[in-house]
Amino acid sequence: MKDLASLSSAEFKQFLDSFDNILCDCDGVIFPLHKPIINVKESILKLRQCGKRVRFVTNNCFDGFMLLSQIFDKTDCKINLDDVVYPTLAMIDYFKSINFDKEIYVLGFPIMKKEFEKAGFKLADLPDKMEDSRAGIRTFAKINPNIGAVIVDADLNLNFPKIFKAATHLKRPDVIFMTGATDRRIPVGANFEFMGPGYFQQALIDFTGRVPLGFGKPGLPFSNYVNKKFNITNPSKTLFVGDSLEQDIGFSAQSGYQTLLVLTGATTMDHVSENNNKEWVPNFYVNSFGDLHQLIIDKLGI
Amino acid sequence: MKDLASLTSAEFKQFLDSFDNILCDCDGVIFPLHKPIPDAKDSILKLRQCGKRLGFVTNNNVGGFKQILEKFDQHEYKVNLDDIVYPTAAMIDYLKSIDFDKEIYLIGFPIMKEEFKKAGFKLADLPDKIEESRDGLKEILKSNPNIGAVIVDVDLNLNFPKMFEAALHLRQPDVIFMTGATDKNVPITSDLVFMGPGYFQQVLIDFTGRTPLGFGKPGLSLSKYVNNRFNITNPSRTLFVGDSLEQDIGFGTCCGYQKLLVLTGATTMDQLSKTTNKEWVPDFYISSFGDINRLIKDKLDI
Repeated sequence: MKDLASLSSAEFKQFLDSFDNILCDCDGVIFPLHKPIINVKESILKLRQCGKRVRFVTNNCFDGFMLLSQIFDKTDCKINLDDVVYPTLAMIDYFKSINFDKEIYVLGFPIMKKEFEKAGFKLADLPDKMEDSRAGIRTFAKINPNIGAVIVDADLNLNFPKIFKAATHLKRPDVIFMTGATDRRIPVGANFEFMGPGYFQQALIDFTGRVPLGFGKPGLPFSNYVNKKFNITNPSKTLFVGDSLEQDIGFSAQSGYQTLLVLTGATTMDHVSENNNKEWVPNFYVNSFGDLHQLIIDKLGI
Repeated sequence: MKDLASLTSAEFKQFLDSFDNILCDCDGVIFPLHKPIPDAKDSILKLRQCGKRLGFVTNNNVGGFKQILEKFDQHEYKVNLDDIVYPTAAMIDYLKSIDFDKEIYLIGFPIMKEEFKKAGFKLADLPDKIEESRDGLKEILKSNPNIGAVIVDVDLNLNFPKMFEAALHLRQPDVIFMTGATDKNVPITSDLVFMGPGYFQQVLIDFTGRTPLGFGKPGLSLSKYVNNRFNITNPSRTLFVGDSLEQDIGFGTCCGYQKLLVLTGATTMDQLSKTTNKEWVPDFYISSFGDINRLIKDKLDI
């Protein structure tokens, strides 16, 4: 694991020549978490100048493409719809490929649900409250036979009735079980972390005994979609830039990409040194994605 | 591990003489789960006739003490109020013993909350929804300095905002963390198993890194309360009768009691033979608590 800033010019050239594509996580890499990330726009433009294709792979279905493109437009860095992949897109693609026409039970943000509806899918109703009694519980045990898939992603208004109804339907083997983001910790501002959807997915996995199809990082179905969408035939010539050991570096190990860890997000140098999981060790690290601009100028005179 | 029904008369006498106290779980042991438990009432009377003191230790807080008493009445089991222990009673006793006077953040049934209020404690308000925006998040990040304890028990209307606020307050090491029932699987009927509070407590334990004081079986804090309440000085002369491997047999092991498993509740013979956890292996097992009456008659002629 090498610090990009410490490479010699020759080594840095070798590094830059080793990939054609760059895939970037967004939160904590391009979008600030704790404090502003300077020179993001400059780094993207410089990498494009070097002939690299820069695209984005995020677990974040919350902001949706609209917000992403607003943010990028503000920084004068135009991105196309086709340059961004997030779980909802991968799931929609999968459903279409199997001609899915039943109802989908979605635990996720409203914006995620709207995207499924726009894509022509029917969403099952979600419960809100449960009557505090055994009779209340029995009502919830009733199966809706039209539900053909259960999706579990981040939901700030997740509640027990919604989870229990998901569990009840997952007891049927023909109901597809899908997850999006699997993060356990979601940084919110400098001082707080939310419990991520990973915890609630784990409870459902333990309770039902079912293993979900992973349409987020890390997830094999998601990695298949990313490679298909971005026409990646030789994964080793793709560099993945991320801030999360489990979600980004782990995902890349699964996909066969090279990896660059940034320290502006979920992971500190301490986390890196405490890590025992071999799949989560990046090839390279750099303080910030924004540093790439200056490093290319300094090391290669470009 | 021996089947009580297969003991010789001499062995059965030795068994009966080896304890003075019997502590029984309720649901699945003397209160039916799948089908009626005949002769439970007679077994209680017969054991008292043999000079044994009977107490009852249940994790079921949800209906409060009133509901527990109603169930005893319904089945015509004669008991004293003092013979029944359940998590709320143990928690209230503990909080009084430390002169607790702050607010309690209580995730639990409405009736449980009523019982704490009646005992003179102040309860903190719990959030209901989070506005699904980055601004909505800021609301929920505010901490209430009056909260001195967080209690997590069964809550059919548990939701993410409540869990997150609990986690937020548990970041303060002086905020007491208490759990009641820790069951993961709660059988409601023969074909309906409910996701128990154990899953959600586990999320909080993993996320905060804090270990709660356990006031439900198999918790150490409950065992202290039980021994105090029933004046148990020599645990090996107490027999614990239960239907759950983790909650009841585990509790029996934790307390140093002898352990008798019944098969009319959460555990089948199949599950019993497959268990690998040494703490969950009972000393004896029997089809039903109701069989004890007939066994005493047959083996000892009483």
